[in-house]
Amino acid sequence: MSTRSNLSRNITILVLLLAAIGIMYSVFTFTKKDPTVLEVGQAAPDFQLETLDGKTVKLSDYRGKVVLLNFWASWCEPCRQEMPDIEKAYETYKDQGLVVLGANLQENNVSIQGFTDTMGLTFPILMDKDGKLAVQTYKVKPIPTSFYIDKDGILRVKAEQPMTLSFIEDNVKPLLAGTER
Amino acid sequence: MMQLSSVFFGTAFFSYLAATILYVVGLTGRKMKAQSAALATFWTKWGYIVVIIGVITQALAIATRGIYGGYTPVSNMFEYMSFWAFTIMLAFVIINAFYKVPVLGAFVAPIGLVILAYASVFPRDSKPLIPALQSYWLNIHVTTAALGEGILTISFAAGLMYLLVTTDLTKNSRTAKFLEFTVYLFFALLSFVLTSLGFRAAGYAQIVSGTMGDQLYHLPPFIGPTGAELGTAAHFLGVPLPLFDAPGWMHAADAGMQFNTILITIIASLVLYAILRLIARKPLSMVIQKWVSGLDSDMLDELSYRAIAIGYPVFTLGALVFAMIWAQEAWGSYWSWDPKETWALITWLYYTAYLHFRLQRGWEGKKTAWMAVLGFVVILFLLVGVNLVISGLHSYAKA
Amino acid sequence: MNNRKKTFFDAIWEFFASVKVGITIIVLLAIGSILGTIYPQTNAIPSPNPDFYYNDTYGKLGDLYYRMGLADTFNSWWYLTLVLMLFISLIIVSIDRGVPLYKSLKRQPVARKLIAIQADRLYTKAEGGDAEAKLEALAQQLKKRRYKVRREDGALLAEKGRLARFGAYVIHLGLIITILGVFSRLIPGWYYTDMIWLKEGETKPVGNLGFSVQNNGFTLEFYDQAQTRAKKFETDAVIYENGQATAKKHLAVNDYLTYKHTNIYQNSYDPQPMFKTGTIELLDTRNNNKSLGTFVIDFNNPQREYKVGDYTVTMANYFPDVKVDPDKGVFTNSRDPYNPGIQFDITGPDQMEPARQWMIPLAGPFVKQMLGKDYRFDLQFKDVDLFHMTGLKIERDLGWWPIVFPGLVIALCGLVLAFYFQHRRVWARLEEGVLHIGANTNKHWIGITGELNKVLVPLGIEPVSQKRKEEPQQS
Repeated sequence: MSTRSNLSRNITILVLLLAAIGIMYSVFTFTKKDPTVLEVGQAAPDFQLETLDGKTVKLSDYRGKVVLLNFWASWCEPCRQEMPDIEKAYETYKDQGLVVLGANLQENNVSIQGFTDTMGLTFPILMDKDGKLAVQTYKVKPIPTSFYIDKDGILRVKAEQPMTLSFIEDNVKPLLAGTER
Repeated sequence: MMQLSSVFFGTAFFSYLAATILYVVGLTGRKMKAQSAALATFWTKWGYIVVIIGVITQALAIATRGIYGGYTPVSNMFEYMSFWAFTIMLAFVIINAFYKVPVLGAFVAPIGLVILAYASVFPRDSKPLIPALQSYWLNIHVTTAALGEGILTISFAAGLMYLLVTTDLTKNSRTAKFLEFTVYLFFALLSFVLTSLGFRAAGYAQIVSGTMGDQLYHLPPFIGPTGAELGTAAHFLGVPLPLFDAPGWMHAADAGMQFNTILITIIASLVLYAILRLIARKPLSMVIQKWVSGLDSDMLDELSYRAIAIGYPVFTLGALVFAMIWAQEAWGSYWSWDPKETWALITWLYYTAYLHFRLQRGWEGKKTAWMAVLGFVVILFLLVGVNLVISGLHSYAKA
Repeated sequence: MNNRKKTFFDAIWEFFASVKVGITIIVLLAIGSILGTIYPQTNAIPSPNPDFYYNDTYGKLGDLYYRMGLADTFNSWWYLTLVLMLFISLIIVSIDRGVPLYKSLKRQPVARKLIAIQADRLYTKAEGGDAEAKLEALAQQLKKRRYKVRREDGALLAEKGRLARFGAYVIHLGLIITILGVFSRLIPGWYYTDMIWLKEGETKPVGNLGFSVQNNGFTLEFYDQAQTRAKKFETDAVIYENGQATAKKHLAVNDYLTYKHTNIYQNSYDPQPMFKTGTIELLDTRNNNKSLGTFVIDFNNPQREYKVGDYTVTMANYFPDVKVDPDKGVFTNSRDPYNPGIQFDITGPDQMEPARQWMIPLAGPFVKQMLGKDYRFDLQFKDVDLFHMTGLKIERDLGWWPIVFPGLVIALCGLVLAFYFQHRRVWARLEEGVLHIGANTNKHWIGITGELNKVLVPLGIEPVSQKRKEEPQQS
């Protein structure tokens, strides 16, 4: 066999193998759908949203306070379970600088109003009408998901389960004291 | 129209039955006396004519049913299976015209007959089409695919005949055992059809309650659904039924019923087989072998291959390419790994392997004949098994 | 091969050019595909949670199936590897055998060796003085039968259907193109798929393709009264881009809309209807159920308060998809109004203290009893508007028309060439007054035998007949 055809054959093999590896690589990067999650330690993304009372809330306005950002919906059973404990924690620590923001996922105002009245919730409810805050900004997968944001606006804890009062206290106390840094 | 269709359908059925008898008589007669050879040709000649009559009446049955329903009747199990029987017989009519192998009829006619009978086990009413099927692609895709499958079935018949011709059944070889088993499977299918139709004709119906709800049995409930109380549901020949229940891990409400059908089929087929075996006093494959002895094995080998060579492109066109085009038109995705289309691909890969073995590795004779025979099992699973065992996008075709 | 040492490249080439390897890949693909149909794949299960679904539905075996990765067989690394190996094999095999075949057919000599002609499966000879004339006549006759006839002195080569020999490689080429088309989905922007559920009047953006789809009305018809067999379901779809309606179509199954290379299909609908709006009449039970007036609720976006004559009706609690549970109390299953449950507070001139009462239109007798009766007022639907959510499939696959489809057509052409056409060759050679005629085909020997004899017999040449395969070939 001539050197020339050997060369073209080798090039063919090389091209095919490279193509195969390329396809393999891109298939596996392609199928991993947007793996990004919010990591603890990074700055909490800022947002501006309307509350149930019609006020406008901006996260960066709470700099200097500890923020518990909780994503919930009334059709989610674990969310209903943890609500009383969140409310209790809010009442206990709000004077020490704890802010609780309950971001509701795409429900109608009347349902939310009924829910907060029944539960006796006093912290502000954010109206995430199009789900953008939860899905795009905070990349929330299951609900309830809660983020603890420290006084400098840094994400400190992410909880993807229903929380108890003691769990909230364990996380909130050090942040309020500012000892974590 | 529907009644007319039923009449045509019945005529086709009895034509195939008559053709089967004519062919078998013609073949056994041929061996009995040398001088009756002319008579034998007479029988098989009439067998061929009767098959043609059957194909024409079945075409009329399909046409009238189509006019009644307003669509090409290939949308449910009954319609599809009987259409497959039609394409098998049609393929035989055409191939026999070229190759002149009347003996082939003695194999193809019973296969077509049993498949047609099997089709009638499924509900026969003509239901209007759901939106997904309201497309002319339904006709194009399904009829072409069925035609391909019909031609490939001829290859199975020829392959089986080749094996019968070339195998020495008096020696206890593996091939001999497999051949006997193949013959048994034919009778198993026959027994299934006979028991189902028999109990249905007798109007047998029995509700059996299990933990996952009530199940309506059309066969005596030897096996109940999970959690059914034993021995309380029914009596059959004095035996209180069910004898036992489907185990809970089967996780399906109708698991007991399916299990029950399989059990009854096995029992009935063993009984049928034992009776026939007692009459014949030798393995049934040896009886059938007599019909084909003296046939040119090379011709059968070539015929089996030719049927695949003709059927493979038709199958590719109908079952894969047309299916992909329709899927792209209807669902926007030409391929979605739905079990039915995956099995069409598996069948295609199987015959692709056959062709490469034959044309590139020089496989001939026994090996390829076995592949042709096994190919029929693959097609059978594609057409029946997938619908009954696995379901997917095509699940609307389920019964 | 020369006696050079085999290089790495040679080894790879030989590996993929081997028929054995090719068949092995085909068989492995078939087996792999069978594994992928044992249980439904993750994309086909009616649950977003495969971790539990397989165990719950199919038990331990199902769980094992899922854990082994077989629930996603067709996206697994090994299946993909097999497909890629098939792809490489198809290319290398075609080059390895197709190119030499092409060259040898191009270079074939007209004058073939006599022993080779005599060894042909079809062979005959004509002796006598007029052999030269017979050769001439043979050439003319074969030309009439569309053979390409080449002559050298005393020798003839007639050939037709050479392309049939390349049928297999045309199939391979078609499959190569098809596989390339499938992988074209990896090119950014070439492939997009999504399922969009729309309520009536709702508009949703389509991924980041820059436009939105609106459901402008959904119709559903059944064949039967019991509503078991759907006849048709159709959506009036409108496409919005930059706030402008840019396209619209009445979508039906099998009838889609193409917008900017993206197809929008009517795929399915939610079989469970939702409440859209309802006109509710307020009745005074203390006054012979006298009508106090009506109000209209939009169940997707209700107001809190409604004025009905002198009365005020307040929605104190609204559960769009209400569930009344003896243990867990009253809650909603979802945010969609499948089964609304409303707790009203009603005040009016003769009712200063709010009268609190439930209204659950779809509630069963058990729930009605649990929630109490003897209400101060009665609330009755005068009119209610239900709707079904429509399921639209969004598909953009830029590789289908320009690549996959032509690939399939080429493969089909190859199948026709390979299986329905034959490459027939006839050689003739005049030597020492004897005309030797040999013929060859790649398949369908009966055909060429018949054709040749139709030519030979009128020329007074003895007809050819097939030599049996088993017979030792004459030399």
